[in-house]
Amino acid sequence: MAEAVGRLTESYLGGSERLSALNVRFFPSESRAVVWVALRDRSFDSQLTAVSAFASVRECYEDELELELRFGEPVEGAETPAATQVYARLA
Amino acid sequence: MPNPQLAAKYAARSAEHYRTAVLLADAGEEWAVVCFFYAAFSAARAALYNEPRLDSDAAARAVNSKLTASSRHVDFHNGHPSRGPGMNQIVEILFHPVGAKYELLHVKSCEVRYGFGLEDATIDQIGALTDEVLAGL
Repeated sequence: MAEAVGRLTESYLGGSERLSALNVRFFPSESRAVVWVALRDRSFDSQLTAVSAFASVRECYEDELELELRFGEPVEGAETPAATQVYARLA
Repeated sequence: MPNPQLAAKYAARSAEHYRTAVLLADAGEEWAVVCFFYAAFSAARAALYNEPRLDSDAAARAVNSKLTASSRHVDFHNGHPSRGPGMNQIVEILFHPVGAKYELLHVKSCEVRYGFGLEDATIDQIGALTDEVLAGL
């Protein structure tokens, strides 16, 4: 599931041209995933475009998962140990 | 049914959050971002309590199959299959022109609350974004 979410996010957010890294932390017991995207263009406008595109990813999973978007690399801590599936890709 | 009293309470709460945000912004304190976001969140709650498109399940579903009359009581951010759309999604649906801007406010507030601080944005940009969201709710 983490990989599927990651691949769809990568596709909707513009692939390796727009992303330098993508990480998904999937929490099956909570039906929740946190998607971390590192943008090549980190401008405010680019962030806004990414959020807008991510809404389409969320729609695809609205009956299955809660999806959260974060920018940058995953913050190690409470989120990571509980994630039983992790998908990471340097785009 | 609409609840103008609750709407007024949340609108007042939004104004309080906004005032605090400006004070923090003027001091250069990044927690202004959190207060700006909650100014938007409370304003969104106020808007939902006045929203005629949520007056009944039928009216809500006519807008989007995921919405119900209960959507106006939403008090969580992200949707979940067990509880339906969250505020991020409801704002996107009902106030589409500012939907992404609202969610970006949420993302940036999370950077301050849970991450290592506001990144790739200034407090002034967040304040301006908040103004746009508030005008569009």
